[in-house]
Amino acid sequence: MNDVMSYLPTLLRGLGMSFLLLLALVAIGTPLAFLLAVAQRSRFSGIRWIAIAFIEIARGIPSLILLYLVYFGLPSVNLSLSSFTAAAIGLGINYAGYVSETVKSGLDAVPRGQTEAAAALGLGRGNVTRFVTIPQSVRIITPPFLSWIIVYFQTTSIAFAIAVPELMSAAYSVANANFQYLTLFIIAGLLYAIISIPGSQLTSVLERKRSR
Amino acid sequence: MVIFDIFTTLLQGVKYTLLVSFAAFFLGALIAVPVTAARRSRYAFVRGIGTAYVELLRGIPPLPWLFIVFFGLPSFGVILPPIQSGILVFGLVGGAYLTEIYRSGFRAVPNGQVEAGEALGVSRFYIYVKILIPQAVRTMLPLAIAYLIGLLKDSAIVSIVGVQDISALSLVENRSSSDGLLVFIVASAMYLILSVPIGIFGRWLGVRLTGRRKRTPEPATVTEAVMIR
Repeated sequence: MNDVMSYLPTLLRGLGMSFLLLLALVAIGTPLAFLLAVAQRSRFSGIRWIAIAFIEIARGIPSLILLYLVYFGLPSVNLSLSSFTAAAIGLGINYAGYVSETVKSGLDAVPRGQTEAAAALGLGRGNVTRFVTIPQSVRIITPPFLSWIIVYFQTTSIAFAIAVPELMSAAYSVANANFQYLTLFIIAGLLYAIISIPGSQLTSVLERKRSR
Repeated sequence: MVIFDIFTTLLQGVKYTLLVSFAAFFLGALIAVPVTAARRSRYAFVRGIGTAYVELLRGIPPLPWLFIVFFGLPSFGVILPPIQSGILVFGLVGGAYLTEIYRSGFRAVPNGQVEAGEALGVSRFYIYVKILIPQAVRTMLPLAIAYLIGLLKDSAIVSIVGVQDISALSLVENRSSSDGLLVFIVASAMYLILSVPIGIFGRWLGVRLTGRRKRTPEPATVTEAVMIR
């Protein structure tokens, strides 16, 4: 037990880094997701197709390969990023692909009458999206949006593969020193669980509240 | 042709990617049967066990599970090679997600049908075999196929413990190649190509089962089934 107390601070520092990575990937991915969702509803078929292709590719590639592509692949075109930045960009793109579908379904759920009324009042297309459609869809998409954040909190664990000093890396380095692999990875796993399980419970409570 | 060389090298990994994801899928599909039964039990205690399994397996991400099995179990004298570890972990985790998929299938069948069966004195077993399962399968199968595609992509992390799949080989190829970007683009394309026939099969199945051209669920990650609640 004393042992656990001695390395818990290291693990918590790792967890802090996982959160920081989550924050960064959400900050990159969320605006991108909105952009892709709006682009998918564009009048111009060219823009629609670019958005759809981007989304399909962003979701079709394994997150791990996206990390490798950004971290190990981009240096061959003279673009070297730190492992943290690479992980935030790679996972952010991946996340945006999935979240854009959620955002799009939220935008589609806003009744047509609303946009027609706004248009009748003389608002331009861009302003209708900005001031009428998006604010109303935010309420619809909040529960699924939170689920995605929990999903990507878990996904930050694979940033281990490109040596971001997050929770898994912290657990691995401690385990390499004291050989208590089982204990360390169980504790790391439980740290993920004590955040994700209440998080997803909260999401389903929110969802049930919404549907009532 | 550089791109052709990369392609043939990575092709060696396809069999492992397919082996791990398909074997895990079938293992998960089996595990999900008793877990679903537990979650639908009339005894609260049994339901609790089923819920605990699903929550715990989904609450911890696959990578810690993989490390617990691969690095942790040997301290109990249980030594599993990388491939077996990968199949076991994704089978166990898949069991939790597929349980949720099975449940959503059962929930899609109107309760009146079960009540009608009960009123006619049909046994619980026959209610499942003749009434519930044939109808629930229509909802389940497209979701399960979407889950399989997610598994194909998520299985990439087994390369971290040494399975020589597409991802592992792309990392090796990257070290010897001057064009790392191209290597990973080819690897990405291979995953996309592998998921296309599964997706088409899923869509075909969806049309066959429901009799209408509904848009089947898009390729999911292992975790996307979080949405299926």
